[in-house]
Amino acid sequence: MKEAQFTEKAVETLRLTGLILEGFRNYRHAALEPNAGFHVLAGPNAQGKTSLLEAIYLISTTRLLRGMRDAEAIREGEDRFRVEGSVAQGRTSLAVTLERGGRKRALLNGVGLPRAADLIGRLPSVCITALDLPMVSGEPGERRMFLDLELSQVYPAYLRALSLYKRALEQRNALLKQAQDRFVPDESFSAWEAQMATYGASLRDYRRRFVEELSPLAAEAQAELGEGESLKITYVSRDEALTAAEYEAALVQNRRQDIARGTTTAGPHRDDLSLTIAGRDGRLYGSQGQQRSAVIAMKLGTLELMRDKLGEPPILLLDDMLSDLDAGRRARLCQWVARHAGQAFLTCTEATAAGDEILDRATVYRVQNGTLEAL
Amino acid sequence: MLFARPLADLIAELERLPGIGPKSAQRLAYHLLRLPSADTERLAQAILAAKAKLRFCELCQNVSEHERCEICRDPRRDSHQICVVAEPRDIAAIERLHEFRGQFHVLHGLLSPMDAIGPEQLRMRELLSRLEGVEEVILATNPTTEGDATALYLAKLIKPLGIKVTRLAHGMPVGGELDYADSATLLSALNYRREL
Repeated sequence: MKEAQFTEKAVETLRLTGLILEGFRNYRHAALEPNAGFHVLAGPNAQGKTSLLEAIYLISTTRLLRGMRDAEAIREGEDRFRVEGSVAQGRTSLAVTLERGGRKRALLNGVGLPRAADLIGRLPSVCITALDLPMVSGEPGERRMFLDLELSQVYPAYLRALSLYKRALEQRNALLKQAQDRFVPDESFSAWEAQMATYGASLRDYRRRFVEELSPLAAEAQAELGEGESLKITYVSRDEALTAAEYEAALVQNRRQDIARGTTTAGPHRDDLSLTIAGRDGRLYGSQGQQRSAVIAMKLGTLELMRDKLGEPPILLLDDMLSDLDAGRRARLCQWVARHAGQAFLTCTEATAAGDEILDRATVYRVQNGTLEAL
Repeated sequence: MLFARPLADLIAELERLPGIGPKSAQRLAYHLLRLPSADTERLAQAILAAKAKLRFCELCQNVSEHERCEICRDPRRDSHQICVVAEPRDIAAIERLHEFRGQFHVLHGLLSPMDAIGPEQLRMRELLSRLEGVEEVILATNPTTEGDATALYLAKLIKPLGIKVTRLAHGMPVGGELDYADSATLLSALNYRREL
């Protein structure tokens, strides 16, 4: 059993022990003192179950759930929201605040961080919601977002390389547009391309290794969920460049065509994941049910991968996926969670949907109209 | 009307200064009004005089009272070494050390195509025209994407001339604690570790 490997000390560090919401979504004020186990948030729709998961996701990743706008998370009639969580048994506090019309700020132990993204990695999480479906069905950008977020949570160096790469890419693209109207010497390009090559090669390296490790783990989770269909994930680059030197050479070679198009055609910002479900391209040919299963399997695989890297499982946030699944799949997902997850937060309209195996070990909360009540 | 016209004008002017928001502008404006006339006179004169008397040093492009700044005129400074910085204020940071004995060159900015700043917008030509006899160029631009790009660009131009080109190192702050270092700094300290 993998669970047995954790030392007590390790389990304490990445666990949420306190959560305070102020002016967030439909919560005026709410506080929660989670334990190390499972938490089932039950109640009718639109009462604040998902917002609670989102609050945890926010202090974990500094982001709202996929596709949400920051300003919309401020409660009506309030000027700001604040979400604060304590980890490491209350020794560390993580907070994210946003004032109306202002910028999102992240605070570590009450001190504002220069960049909100510096908070990432302090409370790793894996979040599964219906909003994640585009991860399989959507554009390549959706899949890169998945890679970027999960890798950033484990490797600070990845996040660093990502932001530097994006910045250098923006500058090169600006230069490409200028080069449409006037002569730009090679040296001007290479100043940005050298940096893109260094950071871009590093991004690809991290992503490739992540996907290589994720693919069998996701396939395993898929099988455990009782899906008879195989799942295979591969990392796909349009260009062949592997090393920084190769990528830099590709950028030099593409300069003329990139100027014509006004954008950079080669690089990790164009890469994608290919998802093969039962031997076919899951994005094009997968049914919605297959795609949903693939999303769940990828996320569960990520949880296992992160457990391996971090030495303890990240927090699992599972939003209302249970109601979308048929009884058999639902039962097997609950079983998987009961066996593999560490600290977990699950939402469902009826608590019974979580199944006995989870409920036996869970604290159940009734969520109604922005209030929480432990049952 | 919220403010009397001259007051509104003063606030509007102050608001245009970097780092000054509407609230600070108001506070400064009221503060200035409370000052004795002699004080405000002196401030106004100081601004006008600075503007009228200062120019850029013809050699290093630093702000100077004369055609050549004090550092460039100082015969004890080593003209074989030039330290290239983005802004005049960076010179002050290095001068506070009282260690560097070479000369400076101020670029007045960093390359940034997004902001339409290319080599022509910076004082690069002035740098290239004063390299005769120089043995080392120290590139002391900030360790940012733009700072690195500017340094790389200059290195490409200067190295072929047979001049040694160096870049400031980055790593752990001296006397700092690992625990408190941001991960970017710690990462670069780890990558550029040295053997003891």
